[in-house]
Amino acid sequence: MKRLVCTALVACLVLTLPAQERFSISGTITSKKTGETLIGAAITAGSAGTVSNEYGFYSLSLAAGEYLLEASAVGKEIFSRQIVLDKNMVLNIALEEEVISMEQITITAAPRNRSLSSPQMGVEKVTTKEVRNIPVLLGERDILKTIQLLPGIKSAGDGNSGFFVRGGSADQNLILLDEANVYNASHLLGFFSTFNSDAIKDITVYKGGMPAQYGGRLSSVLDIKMNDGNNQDYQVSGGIGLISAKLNVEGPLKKDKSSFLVTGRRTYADMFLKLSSDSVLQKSRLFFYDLNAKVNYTLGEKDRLYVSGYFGQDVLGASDRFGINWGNATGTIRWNHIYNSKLFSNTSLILSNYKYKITINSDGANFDIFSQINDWNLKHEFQWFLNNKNNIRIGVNSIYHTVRPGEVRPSSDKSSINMRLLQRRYSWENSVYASNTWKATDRLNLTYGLRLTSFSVLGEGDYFVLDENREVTDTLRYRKGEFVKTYINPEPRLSLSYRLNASSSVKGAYARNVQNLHLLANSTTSNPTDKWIASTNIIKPEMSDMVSVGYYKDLWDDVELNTEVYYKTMQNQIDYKDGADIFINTDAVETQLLFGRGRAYGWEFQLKKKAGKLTGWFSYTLSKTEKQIDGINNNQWYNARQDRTHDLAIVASYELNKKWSISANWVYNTGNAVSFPTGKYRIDGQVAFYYTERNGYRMPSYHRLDIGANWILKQRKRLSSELSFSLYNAYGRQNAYTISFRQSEKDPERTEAVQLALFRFIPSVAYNFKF
Amino acid sequence: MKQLITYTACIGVLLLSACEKVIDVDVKDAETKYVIEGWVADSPWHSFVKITTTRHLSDNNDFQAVTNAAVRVADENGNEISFSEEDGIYTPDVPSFAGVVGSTYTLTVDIEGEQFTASSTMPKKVKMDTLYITQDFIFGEVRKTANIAYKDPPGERNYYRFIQFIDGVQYNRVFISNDEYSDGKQVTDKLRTPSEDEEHQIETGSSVMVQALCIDKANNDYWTSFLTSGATGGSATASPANPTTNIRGGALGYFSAHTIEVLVAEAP
Repeated sequence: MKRLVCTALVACLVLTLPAQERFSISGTITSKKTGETLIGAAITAGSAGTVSNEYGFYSLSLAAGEYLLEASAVGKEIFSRQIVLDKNMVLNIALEEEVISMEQITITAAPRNRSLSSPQMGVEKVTTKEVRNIPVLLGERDILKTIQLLPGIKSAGDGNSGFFVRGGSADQNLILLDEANVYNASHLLGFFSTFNSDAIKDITVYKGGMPAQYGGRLSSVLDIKMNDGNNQDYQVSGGIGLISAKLNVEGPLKKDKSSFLVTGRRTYADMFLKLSSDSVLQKSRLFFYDLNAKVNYTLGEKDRLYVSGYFGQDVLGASDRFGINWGNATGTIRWNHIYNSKLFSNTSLILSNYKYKITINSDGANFDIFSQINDWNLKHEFQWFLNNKNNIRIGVNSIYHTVRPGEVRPSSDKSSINMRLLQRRYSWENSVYASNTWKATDRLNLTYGLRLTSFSVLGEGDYFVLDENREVTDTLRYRKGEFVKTYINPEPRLSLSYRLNASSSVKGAYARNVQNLHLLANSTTSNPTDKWIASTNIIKPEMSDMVSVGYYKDLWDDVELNTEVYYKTMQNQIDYKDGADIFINTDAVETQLLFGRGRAYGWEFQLKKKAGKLTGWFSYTLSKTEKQIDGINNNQWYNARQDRTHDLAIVASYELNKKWSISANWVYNTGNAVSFPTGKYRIDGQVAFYYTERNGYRMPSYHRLDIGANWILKQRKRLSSELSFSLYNAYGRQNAYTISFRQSEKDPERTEAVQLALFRFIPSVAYNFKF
Repeated sequence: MKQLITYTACIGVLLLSACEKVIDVDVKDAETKYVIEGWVADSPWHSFVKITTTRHLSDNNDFQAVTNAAVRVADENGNEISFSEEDGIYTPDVPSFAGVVGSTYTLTVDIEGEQFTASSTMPKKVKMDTLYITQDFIFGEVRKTANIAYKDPPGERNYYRFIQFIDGVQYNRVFISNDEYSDGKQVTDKLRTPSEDEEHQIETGSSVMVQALCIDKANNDYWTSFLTSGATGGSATASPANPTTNIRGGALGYFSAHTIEVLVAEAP
């Protein structure tokens, strides 16, 4: 009893005493084997905890005292050390690879896809292991096709790497590779993504509630970070598949201090064309390649420099008459500086470039068409780990965009084509942002922030005034550097989580996003020539507001349930007017456009098994996406093309033994909304089709099973190799890619609908190695 | 430019295991619309108006002519000429009627209390140089193709439409051209026939006739959108719609005042 009173007294004293002196412990978390910094590693000391940031840096503030500090990450052994905190200290931690004993093959360190207490919602993390296990078309492992299996993220078409997030269109996804914006993330008409999964370290998708440091696109952020390169040892890995071969080389430039990484991939389907007896096919070209390179230097205790670049190109040509090349180039220079144990900064200079060039040589009409979009982007950010309750981010961002919409140049003197250059469009995008993650109570966590974006349309160039019939009534001429129009938009962001108990939480979020670069696309496939345009005096910034609410529960140790609902409204949405001339070559592209609004809402559900012999998930999305644009569909609301009521995916992977693992995924979705003709008529001797409404019909529903197997041939310290087999569309469902209408060949008096299906029973095999 | 997309799509489809099948599609009933096709040409016997109606997609292609319409064409000076129906085609009551370059013509059609009007200005005539047949290599095939050559007049916008007849049968494909990129140049336009259309290929000895029309901008826009917006039943566009017509009052079709020149060649 006496002791109890004593303890109580001491407790009271502690409570009434002025706050004890606090110190912080900070450092960088890396992998011991490769020296790669680890993103999202968990660090705990007593009851306090944090995760490492995107550069592996962590900082914890604690009262002076003795603690057991633990650090853990996916696939790594847990690190623990007893520390005495009596001053600010730096502790860099290198985590050992997890040892998997031969008898036991269970994966123990489950990928931590989400944290119950983090306020961030609408976020999906994909591990490269998951990407590796999922069977895909032609065996090309593809992160964009993997994320399409997650709830709320939909594929743009059969075998397509384009994706739609929560009702947004494909251009409303911010796709970042080492912070650089990738304008066209696909190869070969969309069938393959530009990301070579061998070079990828971390993949995060935000479907909503984006943190304030991200901006510029309405529906999602896909943040991809490349590997830094092994600074401990040289390593070569590669693979040979049905359509492509790839090689990855990395190693230290100076051990522990600096490293490099070079990754290349090239398809070789065109080699088969050479075998063809057909002279035209022999001269045809069809391939793409990617090159990723990165170096990083540790300049001292407090500074680290990263230089990374990507270059990819598609080449397609039919003999020497027609050719088209397109591709992205990005470059990023980043400098991390640690001011002190609480203040971390990063400065980035980024170049993004996308261009295409078409070459035509057709009897007297010899010419090239060129188009390009180019961004110079400067970012500066501070992360201030104020104390255990507040974690602040402040940053500025400035981007200078140059769009060259179209340039036609004759390629010979005799060409019947004149030179024609559309005006370049210049714009300057600036933003400042601040956000704070605040642990309000043990149960309640909040992230609140504001992003303020200004977008200035700059001269030189002609801008237009249109009447209600979208005819040009006046041309406004601006000088070089003159401001045409500036749009300023605040983008508030708020998300919060409330922990109900040890195994469940609820979260809510609101986010506004603004988009100033728009993709004009009007075809059923992804075309390299789809046009990027910037906001102008007429084209207003697109804007979206989304609220979402979610519930998360750990059902068992390794099974989690995630469910979210969302409602999103979109303003200043852009579409071509009916009968628009999409090949129009005038500076006044606005004459072909209409503007309106959109709304999207849905329910997402996911059950995920994260560990064990069997891993995978079940995901389901029920959703609706509509648009209303004056001048389309008699001004009534209509289903957006990507509107699909049901979307379902089952993904499973099973480790049979230490050599073999098998995997399968099955997807089902309602067909896209589509416009079919309702009638027909004869004009000029031919039968033409008559349309009455936009997207009033549905494509047939889509479903498909893919199966795959991985066979580990060797797994030694110096050499490991494996064979991957996959079968895409295993039961050969003829999924409609397009539906077109024509007069029947058998009975020309009748009209028939013809469905085109692309991929059925596509087997593939790939060999991968590492030494 | 449109060719590019076709080329790209072709190569894509060639290399992938595409497979086609005829399916059943249930389409809703739609209100019947009038379809008006009107020509005023600069030479006699080439001006006419045809009126039909739309049919449901599942009906056969027996498009009946509308014969109870009152049709008249007026020029900007108020000179009006009536058109009368015979065998489903309305022709001018003055058979020698021909339009004049530079004049604007207004078509008025009255059918059972509904009125449709349209205007079109006859553009300047551009003389064609020659029509000749060449052997072209396309995707490994040799195909005979008609070429039409002319000198585009500089400093003005010109729009062309070519109608090809092979052995007297009209080839059902719309060929349009303009001088957006070739103002003032010597131009050769190829009237290509798609390979899948085996019946309508030019053979040695075929007689090829081409009607070369100089059309106005509204009609160029009509045919451009006809080709790109889904009227031909293709699936390339994500948002098919009816072509942009110059007819007011809610009818489909077009009214065109144009010059016409007929060229003939025999395939070697």
